[in-house]
Amino acid sequence: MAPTDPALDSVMAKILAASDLTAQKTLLNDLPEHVFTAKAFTSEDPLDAISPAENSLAYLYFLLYRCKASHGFHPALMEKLWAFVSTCDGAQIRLASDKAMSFAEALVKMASESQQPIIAIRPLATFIQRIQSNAGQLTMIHPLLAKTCLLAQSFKDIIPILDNDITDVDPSQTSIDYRDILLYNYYGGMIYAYLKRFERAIDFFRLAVSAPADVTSAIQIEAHKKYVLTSLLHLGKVPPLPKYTAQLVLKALKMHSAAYIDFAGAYEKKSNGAIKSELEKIKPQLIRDKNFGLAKQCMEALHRRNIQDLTRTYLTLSIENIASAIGLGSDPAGQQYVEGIIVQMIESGDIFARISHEHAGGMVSFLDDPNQHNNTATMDTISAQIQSATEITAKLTAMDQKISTMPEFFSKGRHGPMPDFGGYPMDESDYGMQMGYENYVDEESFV
Amino acid sequence: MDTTADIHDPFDSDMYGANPEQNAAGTPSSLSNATMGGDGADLTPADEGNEDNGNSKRKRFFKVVEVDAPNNLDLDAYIAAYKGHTKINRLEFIATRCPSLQIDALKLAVAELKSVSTMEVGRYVNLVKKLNEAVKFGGPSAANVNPELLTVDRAWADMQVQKVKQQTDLLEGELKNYKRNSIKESIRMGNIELGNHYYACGDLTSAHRCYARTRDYCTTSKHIIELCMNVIKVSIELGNFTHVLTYVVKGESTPEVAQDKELTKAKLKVAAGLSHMDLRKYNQAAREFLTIGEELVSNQYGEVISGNDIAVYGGLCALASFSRPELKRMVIDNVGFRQYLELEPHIRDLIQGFYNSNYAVCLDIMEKWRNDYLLDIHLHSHIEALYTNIRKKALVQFTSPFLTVDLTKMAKSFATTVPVLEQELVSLIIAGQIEARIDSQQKILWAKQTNKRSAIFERSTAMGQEYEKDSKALLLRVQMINHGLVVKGPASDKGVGPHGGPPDGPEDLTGQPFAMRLGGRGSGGRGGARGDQLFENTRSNVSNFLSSFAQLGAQSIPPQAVPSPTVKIYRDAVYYSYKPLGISFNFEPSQPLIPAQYTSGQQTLDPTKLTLVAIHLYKSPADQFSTYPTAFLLPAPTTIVNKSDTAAAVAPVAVVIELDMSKKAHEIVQALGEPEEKQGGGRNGNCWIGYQKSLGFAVDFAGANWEDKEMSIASVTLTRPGDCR
Repeated sequence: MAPTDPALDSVMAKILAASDLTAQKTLLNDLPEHVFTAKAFTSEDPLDAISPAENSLAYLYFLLYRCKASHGFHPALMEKLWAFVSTCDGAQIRLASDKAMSFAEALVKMASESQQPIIAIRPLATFIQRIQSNAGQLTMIHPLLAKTCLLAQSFKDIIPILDNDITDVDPSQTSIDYRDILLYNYYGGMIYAYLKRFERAIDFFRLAVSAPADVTSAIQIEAHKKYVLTSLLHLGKVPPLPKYTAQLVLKALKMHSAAYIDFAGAYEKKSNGAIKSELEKIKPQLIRDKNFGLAKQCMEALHRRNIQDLTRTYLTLSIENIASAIGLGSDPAGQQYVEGIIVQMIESGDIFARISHEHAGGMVSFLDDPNQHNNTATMDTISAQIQSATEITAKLTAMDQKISTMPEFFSKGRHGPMPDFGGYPMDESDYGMQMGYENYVDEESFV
Repeated sequence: MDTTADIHDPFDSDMYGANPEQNAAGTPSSLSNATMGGDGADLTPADEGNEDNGNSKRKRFFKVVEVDAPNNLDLDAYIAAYKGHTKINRLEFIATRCPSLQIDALKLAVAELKSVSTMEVGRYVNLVKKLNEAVKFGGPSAANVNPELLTVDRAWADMQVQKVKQQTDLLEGELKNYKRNSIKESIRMGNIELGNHYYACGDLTSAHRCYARTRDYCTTSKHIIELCMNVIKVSIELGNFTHVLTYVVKGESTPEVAQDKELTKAKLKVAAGLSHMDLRKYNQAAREFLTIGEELVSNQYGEVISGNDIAVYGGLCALASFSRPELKRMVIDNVGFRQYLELEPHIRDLIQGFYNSNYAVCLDIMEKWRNDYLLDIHLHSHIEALYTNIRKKALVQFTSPFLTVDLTKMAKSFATTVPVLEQELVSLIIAGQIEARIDSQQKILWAKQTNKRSAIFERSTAMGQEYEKDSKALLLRVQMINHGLVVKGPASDKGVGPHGGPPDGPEDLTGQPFAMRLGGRGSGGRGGARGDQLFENTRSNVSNFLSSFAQLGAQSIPPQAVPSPTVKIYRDAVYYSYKPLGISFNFEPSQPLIPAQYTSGQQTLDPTKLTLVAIHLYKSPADQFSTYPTAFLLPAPTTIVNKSDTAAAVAPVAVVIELDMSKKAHEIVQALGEPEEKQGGGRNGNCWIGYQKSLGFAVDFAGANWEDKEMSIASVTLTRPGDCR
């Protein structure tokens, strides 16, 4: 325990008296570390003296160093911590977002030291919701929370956060950098994949891969690998990446996830043999990348996909025929397996069908989607969609107007549709020389 | 166009001598060999290579033909429609494929060769030999072969060989003579005559060469047409149909002056049709055949095709590839084509039957004539594909008007079994050609009742979701770019993040190499950022940069060793060269300079107007520079930054490559991978390799031989990656 500092009380007084938050922050930053861990002269805990809701900034500093110093959880500290994360003032915390991040890291550290990483999750989730200025804002704590959840395999608390699409990234408020965005999307995708919400997972991985880039990040490559596998699993094919994906990234992907792309090629052709041999070929890499589980799920999904195809060509088909049509042969075990899959698919609403055991082996009748789209549910979906589309369009229009009034836009527009020559103005004088040289080279290479 | 007075064969005696096994006929294996040899159209490597299933078809075909002869073929009438090479080719083709007609076909071929006093003695001898073997092998009509045909007429053959030799010598001599006199038209004629002679002798490649040579001597469009027709004739026999197509296009684009304009056009169309058919573009082939006009009804193009053939080829291709309205418009209502159809009434019936949905009749006709078509020199390898297509179209048409179709009935009218039909239908449904589903329990095909309303609801919902997703991603992207949240090398981002830990740069290299410090402002900058930072910093103030360079130099080199630079000024470039250090900086002025003003002292350089565009490092003795003394760093070819602390372990990737001037060519390529660009080598001067797009790095080697992997560096150029100057 640090020696009691007689000055602490006066420090506290000073802090509380500081005229505005910026001044208070400067003051806090200048204080030596031991002040925060010290007990007050009056032997009263300084944290009791200030309110976590009103003096959030100061509270954060004290709490941060407490947490750093603590090993494992103490109920008393936990209580203060809870009081803080559930009542703190987001605006104050955003002023010291780096400290908030350290605080979050210290929290995770404490949790892992007490062998219960799960403890950190709920406080972090609550903290994020407090310090966001809006629900779509990405904070620096997002990736940390996602990672912690993945390690603890507990997703209940992060799902509401993940379900909010990120619409606001502002480093001035949250001290995030591109890495946070990539990591959050990557971890988020992994969480959704774990929960088998593949559509969201694909979206998250896609966001990571298509992020604007001057160089390729390893996160993007890993995200792309998972993007390929989850897409195959969910859609049976890999949708093309958005066309604004950086060329450089695409090039790097071709090199680093070539095996995955080959696998996807075989998978999209739906030929069992080719897929199996391709899978065997890339198995070591899949295991190394820790993606083998996803790949195995892809193989199972293949059967489902084949069955779904059959619903388009058949009205009734015996289970025996289904088994042979999807390449499982005609042994009884295969048939049982097929029946199991069909039952599952009927339950999950992937197909609409009835199985009748009137005939030997069982006969499956495929039905049409009973939803005739003539009910209120459809109306609700459509009107909700129209509404959100309108909102987004409004946002887009606003952004468009904002961009078109920026001076940069005009200075760029002046050059018109001129091609970008690596940032060099295409002046006739220096261009002419270059042309001459190139022509010279061309002639040479023709010889 | 008809340049062949003589009628001969595409094989010379040498060729037969080299392939003795071709002489045996009668067993399936040797049959297939002979097929390859005997069929001009089959000779090309392309045809052999691309159609594996073509071969298997042929094998199946042999079984059929060995059992029964074609149903409708009257060999004498059939072959009378042809003249020239194709007559012999077709006869030989039939002989090798159809045992029951073998002797008759060979008899006709031998008699034909003799009667036109062929120049192609080798082929004659060979065919006689084949005929002998066929007779020995027995078979129908083996007894009534004229014994005269079974013996080789030696005296006549020797005379012919002599004649060929004389003729060849004569024509070659004449051509030489023409060339000496360099009269264009004579050279052209000489070449054509020699080509005709080679063609008559069956030396197609030489003939083709001679014909093609006339191209340089063509002066009128008539000449060009002649050239095209000659080349087309030879190329069809060689089976080189891509070549045919090229010359068809050339011919068609030539303004015509020939009197027989329509005839030429028709011939070109035939050639184009055959080419498209060979390339399995049946639709285009049909279009060519159907628009030929009435010119060729009485076999005016007998050296390639008969009027009957046009009807068959055109009709089958059209059935296999046209839609119903097209069929009506382009075939049934086509007056010109009707003339050809009259020659082959069964094709007319077939088309009518198909159009009137009499599929049983159609299939019956098709089956009856299958063997005949399998004996056609051009059609044989396409029959399977054409028949399958026609059948598919029939299936689609059959089902289209019905809500439900009983598969058993349908199978009956398509003369097949229910399981086979089911498979056919499944493949058509999957391909989207039939909108229906199969009730495999009751064997009924149900037309699919698509609820358009539902489909639209589903589609619009999906589209809405897609739009929302895309727009959100775009908005996020714009925000990221606005706030500078772009993936980039760590050295150029906002420093050590609050939680990012130390930048994972190669700390251990800091302070050692000269260029490193120079580039990274002493911070041990990462390769990827090296260029950018260095170039950015100096863009504004070159004098600061230079002095800092001198200072930096001073730390590792004794102060007296830092020389003052040699400055060279050009209109659009300024060089600061430190020759003792082996380094030179290339700056670009913001506006063109007038060098004379500076050398005469009228003006002084304003360093703030200069932008650094490149750094050159030299190895002595290049350009009187010393060798650049220390190592320099480059980013690894694919810069992977940001080894994240992800849960998924990422294999560490080398990010920086250290090089120095002592490296050899192979070491550089090993370190950086295959260069993006290469120049020079041999007569073109010293070798140069560039990695400028990705690394901003290029090397000049002191050597001009690409094979020499020990070439040493002459100089190195560093630029901002992506700058290609």
